[in-house]
Amino acid sequence: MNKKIIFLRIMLLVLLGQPIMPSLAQAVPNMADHRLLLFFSNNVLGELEPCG
Amino acid sequence: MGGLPKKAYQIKTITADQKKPALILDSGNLLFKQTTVSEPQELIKASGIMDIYQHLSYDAVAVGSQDLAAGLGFLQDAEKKGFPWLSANILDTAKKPLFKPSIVIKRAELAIGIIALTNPAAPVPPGITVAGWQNALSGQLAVLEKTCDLIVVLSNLSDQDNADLMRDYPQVHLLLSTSRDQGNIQPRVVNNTLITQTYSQGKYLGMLDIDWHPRRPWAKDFAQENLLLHDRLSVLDRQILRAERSNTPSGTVAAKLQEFRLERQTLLEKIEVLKQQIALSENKKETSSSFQHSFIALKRELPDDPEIADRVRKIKDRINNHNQESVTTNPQQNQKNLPEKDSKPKGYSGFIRCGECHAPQTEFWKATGHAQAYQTLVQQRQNFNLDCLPCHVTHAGKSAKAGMPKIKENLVGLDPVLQRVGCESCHGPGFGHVADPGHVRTQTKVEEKVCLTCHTEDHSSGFDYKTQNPKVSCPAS
Repeated sequence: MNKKIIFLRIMLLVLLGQPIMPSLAQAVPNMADHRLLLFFSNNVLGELEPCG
Repeated sequence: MGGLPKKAYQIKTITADQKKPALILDSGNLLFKQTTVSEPQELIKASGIMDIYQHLSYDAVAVGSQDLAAGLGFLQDAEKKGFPWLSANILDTAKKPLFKPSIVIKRAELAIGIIALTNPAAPVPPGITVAGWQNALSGQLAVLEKTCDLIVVLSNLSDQDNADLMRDYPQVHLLLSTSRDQGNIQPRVVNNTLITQTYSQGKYLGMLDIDWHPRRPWAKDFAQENLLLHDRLSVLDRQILRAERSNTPSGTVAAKLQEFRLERQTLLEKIEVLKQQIALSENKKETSSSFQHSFIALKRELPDDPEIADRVRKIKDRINNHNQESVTTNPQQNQKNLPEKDSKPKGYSGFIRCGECHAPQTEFWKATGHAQAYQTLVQQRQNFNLDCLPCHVTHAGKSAKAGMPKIKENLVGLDPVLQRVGCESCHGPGFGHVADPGHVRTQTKVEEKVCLTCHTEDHSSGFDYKTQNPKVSCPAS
């Protein structure tokens, strides 16, 4: 068989194995996932730890 | 309670357990108790705190007015090393901000804009200009509201300014404040803004678990209001019942009954309106942003993060060594500043003189913790730490004279007989009594307020005078 035809057939097989369109999950960002932990402090006033 | 090692443990553990992105913020007044710095050890401690905050990856820290106590350069040096100081209204002579006014942080797939405001009304060292907050905030919001999903203000402003801010700037979603008088502020939504803060001195760690939906306001919490209305209703019902059962009908009782019934009717109408609001808010839940909150009390029994505990230990060692060296390398200079040549502060005699006439009492005292108070500091290598010393020696900071540097007052030449919580700590200076016991009396009964000078909630949590006083009360003569 012609080398060119073999090469084209292999390439065709490789291409067919790839998904053509991205999945729906990839196309639409996950809008609900904005959960965030916020730690906060204020007026620490130079305290490292209490006196022992 | 409190302390950075406990705070670090909580942040690390919760973040690891919950596997959610975290943001760590501080709204300022981090470094100093006062608006001026009187001792070098305060600078050592402040530098150490900034190192620890950086190690914990704090995202932003507002410059509070008290953070300026050591001058701009002190904060700017830390900023150059990557410390995340923010202030939108500390300006140079050309009216440009001296610190980053705001930052945008990408987290949880959100662009979070953080702005910091310093209190323009609070005293600051000369040469520093803290401008009005409104212009600074408007300028920052004009940029951030176009690009950010969530806008946070770290506010060092007064309560009135915070109220004005929430009224006039609904673009601000979250306000973290620094009001000294208010302690932990339960998060509440005012207009469009959620406001909260923690108690001072690092006793609590505030935490918000936020489910944020851009362009959807916070859900209003009607449940609390509903509870309050029902509480009042049950009180009124009892009062009405009591008045109706009253066997002595009089004009006053009848008038009161009428008053109760009217209030009850108004209350029922309010409850009905609230019911409708609750039903509506249930439907709106899907379209609102929401949060859960907690104030984690950093109690003594909570674990420490070992790495931060080690850093804190090293800072305290540095403080102790610095003070010890300053005493031993400059003894003459320090002696010159002493109020008297006597090694005891004015008016004090020491427990040995007391024991000459009050032997049984002195022997009893020797077996109490008060007699060992200084030794506990020696064991912890903190016997030169001015934060701790005042309550571990006789007299010290409790009677320190204004203008007398604490280090000289407490450390230099303090007679070893006063290096303990001696008789005169509770009964007052005894020099006059020793000289003329017939005429000069000391305070025999020790009132609670004397104990509370040192046994504060901060340093002696849960101290109870009635149970503790008998343990140190000397036997009668």
